[in-house]
Amino acid sequence: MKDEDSVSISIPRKLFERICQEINNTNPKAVSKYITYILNKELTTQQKRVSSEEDKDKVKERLRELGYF
Amino acid sequence: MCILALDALEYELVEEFNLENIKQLEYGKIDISNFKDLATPVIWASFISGLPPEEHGLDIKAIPHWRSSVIDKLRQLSIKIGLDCIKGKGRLLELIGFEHRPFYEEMITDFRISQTETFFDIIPNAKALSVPPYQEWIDPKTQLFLRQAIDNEEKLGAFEEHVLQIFERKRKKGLKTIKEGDWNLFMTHFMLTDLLGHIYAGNKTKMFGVYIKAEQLVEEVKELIGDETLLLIVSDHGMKPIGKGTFGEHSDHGFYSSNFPLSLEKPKMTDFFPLIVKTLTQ
Repeated sequence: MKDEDSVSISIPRKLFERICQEINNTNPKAVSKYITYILNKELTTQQKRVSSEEDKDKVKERLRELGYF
Repeated sequence: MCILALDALEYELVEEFNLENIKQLEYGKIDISNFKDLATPVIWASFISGLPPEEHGLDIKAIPHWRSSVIDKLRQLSIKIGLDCIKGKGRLLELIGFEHRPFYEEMITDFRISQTETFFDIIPNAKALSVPPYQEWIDPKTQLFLRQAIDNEEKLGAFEEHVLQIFERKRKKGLKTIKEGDWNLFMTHFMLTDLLGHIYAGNKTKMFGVYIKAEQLVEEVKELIGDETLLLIVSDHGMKPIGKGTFGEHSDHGFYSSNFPLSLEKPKMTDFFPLIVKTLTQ
């Protein structure tokens, strides 16, 4: 499984064991694949969060009230 | 005693990210329900003076933005003039010699004029770095960048970089003071978690990045001060997301932690003053 450049990152053993149990696989490569999948998904979800115009007005109003500008 | 004031550090995020250096031996929420406005300088004024807002008198809504030598004299005599309610007066006031000044400068001036006693006045050899409203804690460039970042997503990167640069400068200055060791009390204040929280509160990845910087700072401070010095970490309020986007607003509780037992239960901002003074003057 050398499809892309990779780096090694350590995780707590207990978390590793928890993942093994959940995915029914103790192979570190399978765990690594799962972690990559989850992290990609999470990063995309966070980056997709967009503030509405209403949110923008609200934060500006709050900051003005509190003297930020 | 060393006090790290981490503006807007959110209790819930410290728990969620399990920041072990920040949590320390005793930690919890601070009750800030007695503050009408969750405004940084007003809450910190209570922390450093031990007085509730109605007694230290600092009021975010009563801060004038227009100044002149005449107005200054009247303010010294405790006479306040409400020019801010007059719409469209800017050009006219400038023509007759008034000057528009940023609110934080006014807050510092008001606090000095009030001659409110703080623990910096009581404790021998106490040092402060960027503590609001005792000193300057924000600058016009940061305010401008913040406004631009909210208005225009493309400016987010520049704002983030600017905030991180300021944090880095203050971090180095703070660590240098700690290393020099010539203090009984050292308090320093950081805006990192507040400014980036207002922009990124709804993005947990970004917030983790911000909070891990605070966690690393605490780790560095702990290494320098050792086990004998009391380290108090305090925030004036927290931060919560607005709607489903990324912007954030102040939440209704502060945070504190200590490496020594203080036996506090949901303390108020004013509860720390007697404790600090008693510990350092006995």
